[in-house]
Amino acid sequence: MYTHGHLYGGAPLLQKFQIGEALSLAGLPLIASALADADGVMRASTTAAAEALGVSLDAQPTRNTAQLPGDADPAVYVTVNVRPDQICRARLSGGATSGTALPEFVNSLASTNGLLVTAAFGTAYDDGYIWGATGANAGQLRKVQGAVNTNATPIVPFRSDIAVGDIFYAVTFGPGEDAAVQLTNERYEVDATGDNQSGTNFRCRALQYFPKGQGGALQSFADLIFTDHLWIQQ
Amino acid sequence: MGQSYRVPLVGITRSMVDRAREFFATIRRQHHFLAGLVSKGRPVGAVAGTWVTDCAEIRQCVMLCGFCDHKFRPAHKRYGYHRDTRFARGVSGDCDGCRTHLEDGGLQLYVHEAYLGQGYMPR
Repeated sequence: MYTHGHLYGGAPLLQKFQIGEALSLAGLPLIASALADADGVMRASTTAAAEALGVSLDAQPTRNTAQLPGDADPAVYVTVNVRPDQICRARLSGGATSGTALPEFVNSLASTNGLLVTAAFGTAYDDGYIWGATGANAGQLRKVQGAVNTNATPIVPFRSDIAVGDIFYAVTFGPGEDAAVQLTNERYEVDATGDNQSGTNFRCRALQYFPKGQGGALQSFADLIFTDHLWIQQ
Repeated sequence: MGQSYRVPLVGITRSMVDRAREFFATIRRQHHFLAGLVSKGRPVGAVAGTWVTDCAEIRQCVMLCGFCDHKFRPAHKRYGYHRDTRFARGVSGDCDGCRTHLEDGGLQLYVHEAYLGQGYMPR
C-alpha cells in the first residue's frame, strides 16, 4: 500500500511518529493507539482502521522499551503521510496472504444475454464487482447484483455473450460502494475475497483492473480512501 | 467606539453547544496525545549532516529542503537511498537538515531502497 495521490491534489504531509509496536514492513496503514494504554502508532487490523493516521513510508523492526547506552534516544519513529485525503493504492490479493493470485472463476454455462456468469462464486461477492479476464468480455467491469454459490448476476449486462470457459475475476467491494475492504495478514494488500462490506476502514475510490493477458491476477489494484481518519472527527 | 456587541444566538440549543465543546475537547486531546509522539527532528546543536547520516543508519526516510538537498543528493546512493520523484511538488514536512517546516511541497524525499518492494511501493 502506498500513497498514489490526494483527492485535493498537492504534496504529501510527512511526519515521523513514535511507534507503539515493532513495524517490520513499510507501506502499512497506521492508527493512533488507544489513549489509555499505548504510546505510539500501530498497524491497523485486517478489518478496522478507526482513528487512522496514514500510510507508513519506512519501517522500524525494533521497538526499544529500555534505555540505550550513551544517552541515546530509545524512541523509534516511522515516517507517515498524515493527509486524510490521501489515495492509498493497494494490490488485490486472492487470499489472506499477500501476493496470492486472484481466483479464476470459469464460466460453465453459456449466457446469451450477458447477465449470468455460472461459476462457484460465494455469497461474499454479492454487491461486489466482476470483470472479464478472458473471452469477449475481457477487461469489462460490472457490479454484481446477486451472487450465490453457483453463479453471479451483474446489474448491467456484459457487452458480449458469455461463452463456456470464459474466465472472470471478482472482488467483494468496488468504487462508489458503501463497503469497506479486508486487508491481508501483512496489511499492505487487500484481500479481494474477504467480506468486510459492513466495516469502516476504507472506501474504494477506483479499481485498476486488468484481464488475464495483462497479468490481472497479480497486477490489479484498488485505490482506497480512509473512512475514519484521526484528523477528521466522525 | 470600544463597545462590544453581543449577538443573540438564535436557534443554538444547549445540546448543540455541549456537542461542539465535546468535539473540540476531543480534537485537543488527540492533538496533545500525538504531539508528544511526533519526532522533534534534529536536536538543537547537533550537526545537520550527522543527523542525516544517523537517519540513514536506521533507514529512515530523509526529507531535505532546497538549501540542504544539494549536500545529500550526490551521496544518497552511497547510503542506499532512492530519490523519490513521484510527487511533482515534493513533500511537506520538516527538513531533516535545517528543521525548516515547508507546506505545500518543497522538500525532496529520499526513501531507502530496502522499502521499495514492500507494500508494492513503486520505484
